[in-house]
Amino acid sequence: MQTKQENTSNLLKSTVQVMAVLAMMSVSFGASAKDVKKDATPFSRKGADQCVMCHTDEHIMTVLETPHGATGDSRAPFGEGQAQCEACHGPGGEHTGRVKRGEERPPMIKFGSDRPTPVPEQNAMCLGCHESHLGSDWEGSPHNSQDIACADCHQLHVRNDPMTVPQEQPERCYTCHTAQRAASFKPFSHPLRFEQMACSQCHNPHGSQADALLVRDNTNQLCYSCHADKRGPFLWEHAPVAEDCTSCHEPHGSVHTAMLKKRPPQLCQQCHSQAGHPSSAYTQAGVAQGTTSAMVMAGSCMNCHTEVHGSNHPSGQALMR
Amino acid sequence: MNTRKRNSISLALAVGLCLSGVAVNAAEADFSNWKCEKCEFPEGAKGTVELGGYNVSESSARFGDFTGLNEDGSYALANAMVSWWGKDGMWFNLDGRNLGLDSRYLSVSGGLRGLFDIEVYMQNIPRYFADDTRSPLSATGAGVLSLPGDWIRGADTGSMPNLQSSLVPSPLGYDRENEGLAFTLTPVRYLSLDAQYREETRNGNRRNWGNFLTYSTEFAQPVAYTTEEYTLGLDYARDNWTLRAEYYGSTFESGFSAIAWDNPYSGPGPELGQKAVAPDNEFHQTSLSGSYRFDLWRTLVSARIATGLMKQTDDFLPYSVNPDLVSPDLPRNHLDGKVDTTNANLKISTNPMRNLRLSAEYRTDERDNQTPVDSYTPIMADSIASSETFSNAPYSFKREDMKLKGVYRLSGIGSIQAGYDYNSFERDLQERTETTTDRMWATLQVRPGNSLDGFFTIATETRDGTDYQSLVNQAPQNPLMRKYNMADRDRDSMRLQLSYIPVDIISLGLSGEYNEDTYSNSTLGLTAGDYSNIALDGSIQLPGNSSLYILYSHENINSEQAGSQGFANPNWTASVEDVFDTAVVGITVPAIKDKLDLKLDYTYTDSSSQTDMVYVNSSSAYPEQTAQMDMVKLYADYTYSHNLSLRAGYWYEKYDSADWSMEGVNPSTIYNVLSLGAQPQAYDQGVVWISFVYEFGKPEPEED
Repeated sequence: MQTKQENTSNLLKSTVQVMAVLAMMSVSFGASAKDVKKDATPFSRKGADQCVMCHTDEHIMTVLETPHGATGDSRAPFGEGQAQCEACHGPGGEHTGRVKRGEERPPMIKFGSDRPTPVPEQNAMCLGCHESHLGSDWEGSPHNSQDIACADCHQLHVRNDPMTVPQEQPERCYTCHTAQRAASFKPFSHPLRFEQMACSQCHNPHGSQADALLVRDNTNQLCYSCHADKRGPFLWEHAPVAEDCTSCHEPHGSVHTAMLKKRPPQLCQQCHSQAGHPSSAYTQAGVAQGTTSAMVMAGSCMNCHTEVHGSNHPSGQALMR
Repeated sequence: MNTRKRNSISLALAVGLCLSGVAVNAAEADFSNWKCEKCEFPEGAKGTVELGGYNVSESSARFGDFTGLNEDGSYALANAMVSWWGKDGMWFNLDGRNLGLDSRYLSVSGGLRGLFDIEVYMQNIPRYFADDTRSPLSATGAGVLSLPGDWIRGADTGSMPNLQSSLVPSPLGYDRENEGLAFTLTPVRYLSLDAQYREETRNGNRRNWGNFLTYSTEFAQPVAYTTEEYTLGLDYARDNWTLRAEYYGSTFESGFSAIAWDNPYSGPGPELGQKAVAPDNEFHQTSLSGSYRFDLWRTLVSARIATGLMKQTDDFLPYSVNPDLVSPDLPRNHLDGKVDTTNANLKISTNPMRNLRLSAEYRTDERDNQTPVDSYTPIMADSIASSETFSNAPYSFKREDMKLKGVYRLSGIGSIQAGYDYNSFERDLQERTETTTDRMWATLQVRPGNSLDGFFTIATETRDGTDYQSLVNQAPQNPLMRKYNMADRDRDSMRLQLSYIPVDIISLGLSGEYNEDTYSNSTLGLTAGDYSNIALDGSIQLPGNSSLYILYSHENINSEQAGSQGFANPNWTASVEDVFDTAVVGITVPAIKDKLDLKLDYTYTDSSSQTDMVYVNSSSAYPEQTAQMDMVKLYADYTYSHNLSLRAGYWYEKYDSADWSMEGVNPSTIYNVLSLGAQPQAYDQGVVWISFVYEFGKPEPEED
């Protein structure tokens, strides 16, 4: 009977072998590690000791400072009895073997969508160990469907992968999400550009069971994580607030204060047309150069209806208390 | 950083479980003699400590917002990154940033690889909203704002004789202090436990108003919030299936039971007003999720169900604190607010053909408000006793989504994707009981090689629903009004993203998005809107390891709405156009090889918003609301020795803004709003810094 440690070690070995075969297949959705049985590419003779004879870049060795390089973890690539570099880059028997003059050395698996190894094949290597938490949400998620390589975001030959460092993570996301990079400079925005917030506080790039890859079940539950004062339930609710914060707010930033989609009174008048002041035409005559109307200046509607997120005051039915 | 923990924990979990689903016998491979003798496995500590100082040229609330550099003068610069490796997988990490500033962050983590990880962290987020605000009101007790003793009330802000002499600085801002703990344990191969705790406090004040009918006072409302979040999770994963059980809890305490403020006006209203603050509340949610992968077509079935309870039982305040009015008895002492939440999800993904993946998903999101309904007899703004009663309207909704999606991979050149989404939204006590939305979309991905990658997505969406109805117990809406969150809407959108690497040293990107909304059946309310964005970016590796990065982005948001002054047919329209331009240039130059690195970042942003109105055929335009920022950051990093370097930098930032809602509005400018007088912000800021960086644990380079 295998010990627990042997069991996990074997799993990683198996993954390596199978993925090596996968590398030779035309990778497709249907390709499975389980479909592959034999004919695996051979491993190198000495493992990493052979690799570093040619690959002498300083950053290559940095992997030893990461969880992947932990020798004390039997499941890590550099754990005892594991395949070291070839755990991720695939068996290197042919790559390290003799090559005829003029022939190219058989390639190893390289990571990043700009590298020749097909993305599904690269990702299969990562998922061999990391699928357990990604599996259910990753498959079919936007990043998966668009063939984003794990290595497009994650760096493994640095001491701390920027994706796991909240202050450095947004820069990685902005590589593709340029509109969000620009939005981070808007006059009113969440503090990503000040390194006070990470994209993954709201979005799970590996997939989610909510819209927009949100990390909680819906927009409001997510916003309440930090803005729990808006959660209520209130005695007097403002229904659109309880329904969806993004009805009025633009979470990636806005040119309007409080990240509003537009300013009051026009924002409020998109829904409020009751007789009297809610439906009046508030023109520029109300600004400071004109009549300086409380209906448009300072807080506008909120000069009086201060509790727009809901009120728990018995006299707050008009959201004034 | 609370939810960050969720992902890092998940990652740790993944490493811990390392299930591949592979059934191949691996015993044929034997790596036991792979010693990796040339590998330099880390042992002991490595890291950097940076100490120095900043000098800030001018005081500015806006510049200090989030950065902590709000006052002119000097600040300590202190950062530390330390990693330690022990034997057998023990590790320790310290990450300290901005330790000399109010924007400080410190994370200490460690553990035994493969068994447990633990992290303790703290983060302070300084918020500075305004420093030019002044008010005659000042805090004299818990949630009490008082006027000076010699205050003479006036009929309006122009008739308050002591107003100018009573104004005292009343800056707006608060500190958000976060402290947290995250823990993961993987005791056995298939099992993992995780726990996270976070507490956030906010202490300071924020902008708010208190009114007596049509007379309002803007003030700095004290804030003393405490939010706690805690998560406990248990994961179990086998080769073909996974299971996770989770509890999530969140509690909120407002710190004050009420805000009371002196009435500066001689009428209407009593001498003191009182309003409620955000009530203490809590949310508890338990969830169970799992997935199973079938051999047939590698079909993955996953499901999740989560049930939650939002609860709020804060004691009610009286209807009024006006001693001249009799507050009727309340129907209850507190709301006993309860909302049940249910979120469920079922997803199937299968691969019936080699290049084809099909998936189907069903979701439901239900907010069932169980709060009791009672009749209340309010006293309006502490001033007028109502002659009618009002019943609270606990809002419930149920949202259901169904999504179908197909992805066909075109071997070697990309993929075609298409899908259909259906949404049903049932609302309680709203003008429309149900809306339904149909959406169809298609994406073409082109990836013919490693140098070109592109997506083009088009989508069309239609929303309609049940007939409109008038709401009881509320002031009647104009029957022509269609609220935009439930109105009939047609939405067409397209999105493009291209990245191209013509040669190894050049990378180019283009992305664009266009959405167009038409509310063709809305006579009043939002009638149309569109959004467009285009962004171009590129980078080039220059000779000598220099690099250049550029980004330009242009965004445009337009909307049209109609209103009716007079409660009849539309007689006014408003159009709003927001424009936002951004340009970023970054240059990195190793000026002296292995000695001096220089980096320059320049960012320019220009935003504007223009509101135009037409009222009874007469056009008018609000003043333009604008904000411009120029930011230059210059970094120099000089390597003095193998473990000592000198860093210096200069950060110039100029910000200017125009905002018609604030410009020229002093405390007495609006006759019925005693404002704080905040003006549009502007600054012309220069920050210099210098620091020494000591790197320890780094071996000396071998001499040739």
